[in-house]
Amino acid sequence: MLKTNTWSTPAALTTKAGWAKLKSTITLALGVFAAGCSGAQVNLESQFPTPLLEPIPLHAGIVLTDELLNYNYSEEIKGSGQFNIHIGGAQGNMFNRLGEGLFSEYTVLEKLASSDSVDAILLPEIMQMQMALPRQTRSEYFEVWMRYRFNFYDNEANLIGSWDLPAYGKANQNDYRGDDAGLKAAAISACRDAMAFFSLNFQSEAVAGRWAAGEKGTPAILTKAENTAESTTVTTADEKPAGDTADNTADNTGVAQLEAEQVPEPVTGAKEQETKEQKTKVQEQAAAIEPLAE
Amino acid sequence: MKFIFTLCITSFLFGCVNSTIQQVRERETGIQMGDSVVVIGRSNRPSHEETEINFVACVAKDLAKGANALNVVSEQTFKDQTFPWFEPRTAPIKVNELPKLLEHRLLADRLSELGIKYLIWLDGKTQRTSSSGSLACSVSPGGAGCFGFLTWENDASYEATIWDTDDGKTVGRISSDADGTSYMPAIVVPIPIIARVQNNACNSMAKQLKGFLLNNASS
Repeated sequence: MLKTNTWSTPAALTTKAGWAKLKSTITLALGVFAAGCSGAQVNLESQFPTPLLEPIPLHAGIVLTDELLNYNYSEEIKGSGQFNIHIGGAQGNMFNRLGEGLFSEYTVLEKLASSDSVDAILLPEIMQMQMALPRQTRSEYFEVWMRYRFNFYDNEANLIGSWDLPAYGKANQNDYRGDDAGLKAAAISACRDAMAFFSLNFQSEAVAGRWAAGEKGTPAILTKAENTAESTTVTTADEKPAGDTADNTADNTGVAQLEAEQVPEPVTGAKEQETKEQKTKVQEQAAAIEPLAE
Repeated sequence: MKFIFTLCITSFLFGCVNSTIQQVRERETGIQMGDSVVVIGRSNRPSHEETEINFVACVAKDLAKGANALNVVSEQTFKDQTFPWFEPRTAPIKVNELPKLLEHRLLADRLSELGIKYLIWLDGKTQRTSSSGSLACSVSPGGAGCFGFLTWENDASYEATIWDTDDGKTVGRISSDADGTSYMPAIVVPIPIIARVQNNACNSMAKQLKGFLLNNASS
């Protein structure tokens, strides 16, 4: 246990030099304190690998909306500062690599619209995101949870169905210096997890299979589908409504929804937290998780 | 003279480490020209534990240097080249999943391109098992200093499981355990005497692995 005491002798403060030294000491201490509470700004402009898979013989149109490409997660953690993860910066490269590996041909589209040049259209969205710091969970890991929704359309922009996919990434704090680096590694890991799970389960997912087989969506759904995908078939781990996509700030109410195959629950072991802040977090988590147990 | 002095100081500043290596051989091994190995840290979901990246990198680096150096493909290169088959949620957990995985032609071809003969899975971590003592530091305009004594004990426990990609079987297991106590006395200036437990476990593991894979009589 390292105990550090800082003190100054009153006699030393009477001289000008003493004041100057004290001032610099205080400035330094404040600087260190401020740095410890400044949070993190994480910009994700990473390069992802191309999935090593037999491509599906299909010309896919992948719609990368501005909302996806500019997705920014913000959370203020009391005592730790403001955390921003610009996960949208990684989405362009991520879906280009997915398109290369998964389909025989693909075209990136800016918006959802009928197109004769592609066989079918895929529109990915980030529905939810959450992060945890090692000091919140009393573990050694930075953690990031995400929930993607993949909307499958025919080439006339009629919705066939959607697939909700949870993703999880973590990074050991001993391997990275600072919150920025740790969170960045965890977020990249979550993106890779989403890519890996999407690639390997694409063929076995019913709605994706129908989409790849050339099934047509029903035009009746189109009017609603252009705005949201809420009224259509959604394949998901549970039947709870997803959070508001426009609000990318921290929302713990939907945390339990991220549970799915092999994706750990957010804030593992948080029930043992004893501090007031941690208790608040646990209560929020518990409120979100309880409905699943029913 | 200078060298001897440096050596004395260095050996004084490193604490003692006890290490134990155990090996189980299930099959004969051997490395041919052009064969490579890859060292991967276990990080399967939903397990919360993960082997430290720097330990995995240390073992890989030690295997690739010195006498009888092996061709080692870095973990990140391997994971990128074989993506998405060796990610935490998709990687095979048991060796009997490997033959089925290698039925995927593209993956089998990629492993062949990389020349991967053995997959070495590392599992385990280094933990602080105990600590005691106290150290107080004071800073004043007239100067600064510390006084006290700290001590802590670290324990490193790792296991390597080696898979043969040709026949999809486990060829053996090597475990490396090390523990040591570090000290930090301070009379004005703190003097850390660090037991390099993880480094010791890494060096022992890499040395044993090299002997095991090359099928040396001593291993």
